Amino acid sequence: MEQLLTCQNLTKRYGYKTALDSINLNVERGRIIGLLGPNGSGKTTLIKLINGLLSPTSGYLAINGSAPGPETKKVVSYLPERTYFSSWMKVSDMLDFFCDFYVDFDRNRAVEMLHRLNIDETHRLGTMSKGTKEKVQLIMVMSRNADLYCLDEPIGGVDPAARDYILQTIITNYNENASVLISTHLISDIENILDDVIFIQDGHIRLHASVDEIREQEGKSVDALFREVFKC
Amino acid sequence: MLGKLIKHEFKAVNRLMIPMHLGLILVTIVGRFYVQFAMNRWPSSAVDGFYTYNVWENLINFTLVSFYVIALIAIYAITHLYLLVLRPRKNWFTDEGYLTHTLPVSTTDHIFSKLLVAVVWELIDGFMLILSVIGMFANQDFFEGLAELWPEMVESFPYVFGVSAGIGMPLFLLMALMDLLSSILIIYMCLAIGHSFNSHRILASVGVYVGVSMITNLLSSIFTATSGMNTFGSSISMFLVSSSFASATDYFWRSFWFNSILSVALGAGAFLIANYFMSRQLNLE
Repeated sequence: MEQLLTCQNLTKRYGYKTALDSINLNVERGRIIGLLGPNGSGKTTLIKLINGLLSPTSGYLAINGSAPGPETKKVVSYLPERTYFSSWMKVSDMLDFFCDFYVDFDRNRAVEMLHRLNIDETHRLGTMSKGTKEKVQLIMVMSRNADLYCLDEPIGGVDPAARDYILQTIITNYNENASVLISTHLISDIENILDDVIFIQDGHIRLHASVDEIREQEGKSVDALFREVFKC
Repeated sequence: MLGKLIKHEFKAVNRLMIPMHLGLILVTIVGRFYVQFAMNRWPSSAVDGFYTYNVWENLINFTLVSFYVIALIAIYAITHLYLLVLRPRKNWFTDEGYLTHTLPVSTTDHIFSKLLVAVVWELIDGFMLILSVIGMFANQDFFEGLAELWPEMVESFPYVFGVSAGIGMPLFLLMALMDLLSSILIIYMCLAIGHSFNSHRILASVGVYVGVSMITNLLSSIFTATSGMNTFGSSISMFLVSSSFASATDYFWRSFWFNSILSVALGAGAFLIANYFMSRQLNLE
């Protein structure tokens, strides 16, 4: 089967600043991948490129063999690190919106998760706390049956109890043909659910390995290895 | 997908547009009752040359009319600014853009959906403002006068514009519509170019707009100078074009084609550039 995500010599520059420097990357299906790196390392840039929110300066990026566009957006579910819904929208408006545009959106699954987290469908987003907004957004994104989920800092703003629920949601809601790419600093929290990790620094990929390999070869946790590699 | 985009665009835009225009209707109805009351209280025959009415009442009337005029201008300005600048900017180039541009929809559909909804509301706004003024002040004399003047206008139309009213009026409306479409697309283009910059995006958008305006003004100046016509710029200026009756017909068609070609060329160019910048040079913060 075709690689889910392929990057070849992918470069992105902002003016004189190089955010991603000729990276090569393949992501297979059925993996939960941690995209880990210090601030400003290029994690968000990579995720934005995958979602077509930025255009590469040079190089090639493909999802299921196609460059980002309407076709790839049908199969990529993206959680940005900011709230993208209009504040006037009610939760039910968001459900309608996702149902209209994403064929793979499972409304029942979303409603079930909203009830589980005691979020009222009639509430407006503008009246919700930051953490609740993040939960709602994550529920929307994870209620799609996508091929690739790109989660940019999904657990940064929520409490530890909700964090556990969210991680559980991620594990249970993706299928064997899908992969989840999670960018975060909170490594110890997500380490247990990861299959692979990508260490990224200054726009270069420092390491792409499975968590098991790291534990076997390095004899340490991903968190410990991260602290060692990115020691200030 | 275009249909769904249009549906959700109306849903978002109607939240402001419907209450604002309902407010206009309410102001018009209340105002009309007041005008009726005022006309009954101070019928023109009662003015005997010594005094008209109490100075305070006069002041109140003046204030109310000023309030109404300001309300009309505000509704027009808000509709224009919101539909053409604020809404597309927010939905395409701020945080909302993270959702907008990850929908499985082409950039062309994004542009057309916003364009269509903006045009529909611009037209509704224009009609309602005109109807409001007529509803506020028109009386029997106005309609009788209009009924008398209309045939005269139609009759004298060819002497001023060089073509019959049956041809000229629909063409003026067509040109106004083309002007509206191309001016909206030009604004989208300026927003798209300006927001591809890494910083000072609003300033950049305004800068591009100023630049484009200078170019179109230059083109129209060249046209004016070479054709000997008085002015150009929008279809409204057609009313000022010809000073000699002899060549009015010639002027009309020359100006019509120049206007149309320029509108279509500017609109199409702006659409292609906006489409390119939004699909290939998108640069969300």
